[in-house]
Amino acid sequence: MRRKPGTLVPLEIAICAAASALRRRGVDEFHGYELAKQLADITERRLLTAYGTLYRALARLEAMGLLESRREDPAIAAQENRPGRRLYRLTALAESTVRESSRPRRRAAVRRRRGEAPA
Amino acid sequence: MTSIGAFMAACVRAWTRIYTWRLPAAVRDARRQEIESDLWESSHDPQMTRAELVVQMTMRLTLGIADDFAWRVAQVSVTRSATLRTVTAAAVPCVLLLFALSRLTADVPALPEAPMRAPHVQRTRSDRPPPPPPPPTRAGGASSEPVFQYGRTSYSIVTEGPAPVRISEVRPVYPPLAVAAGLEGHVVVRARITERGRVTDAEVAPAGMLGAAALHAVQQWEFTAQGTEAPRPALLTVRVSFERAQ
Repeated sequence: MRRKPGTLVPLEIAICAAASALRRRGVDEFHGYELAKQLADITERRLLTAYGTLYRALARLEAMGLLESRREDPAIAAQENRPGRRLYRLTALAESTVRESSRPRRRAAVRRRRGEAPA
Repeated sequence: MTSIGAFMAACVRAWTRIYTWRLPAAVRDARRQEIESDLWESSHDPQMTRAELVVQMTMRLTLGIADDFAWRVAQVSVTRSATLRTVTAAAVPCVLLLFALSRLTADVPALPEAPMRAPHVQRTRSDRPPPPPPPPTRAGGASSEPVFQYGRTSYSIVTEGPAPVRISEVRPVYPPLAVAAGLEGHVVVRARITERGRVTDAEVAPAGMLGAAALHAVQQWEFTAQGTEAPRPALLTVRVSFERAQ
């Protein structure tokens, strides 16, 4: 999908929304699989986002400054006997982006409920 | 995890290795670890059945291949541009340094250049062996001719009337090989002198290296009749002694 300059593609918006939802649930940092499950929940799809699609989008968002990531402490992963995770965190810029991107849709939904014509 | 699930996980790992092959180590390892973590999390998800796990892995793998390709292309272009920047950053100071050096050397007066030779001509000349040294000359002598030793001769003529007179003598050469071998001795040549004073029918005893040398010399002798006497045939006997000089 071609991207207009300064805008996010739907998947990126959905990822930010899913990350925001996780934060509201008290999960500030999340890993890829956790985000894929949350993404499937909010989009009401049974199929998780493909590996390549998900991690490529995460890399793009990180390059844009909407996400930050870090390697998990190897000691924790070793203690739990599993591979180390890359933990992502939504930035403040992403939070405002999510609010901005959801506002027109909320306004349109309110207008539709009131029977007004779209702006 | 079922065997099919393990197989699918292996497929995901293999594909990840393929599309991250020869990428920078940091990028490659980060992506592989991320996929490995995802596989582990999904296989330990209590909400997911085994069948669902296989389906999810299969679909997530196949539907993401195009994005994997696109991601790899982006990574390679980033790496190449970084390499290009590095090369440029290294090349610019080098070019400036060379330019400055060329300007400095241009101010120094040039030394006279040696005449240049074509490389192949020079090689041809150098490949030629040096000319042989001149032959050694005899100490104190200016002549460059070879120095021979000769046999001593004594002869007798048997004829009727006055004996012819020798007018031409060729000395028998002491063969250098015989000298080197220390071969000494004497030989006797018997021949006939014709009316014209030529030596014919010559025989030598004993034959050999010394005899051949004596025969060769005596055959070149010439004689003539004495006074007003008519020339007559005669018998010639020549004794040649070959002795090395002390």
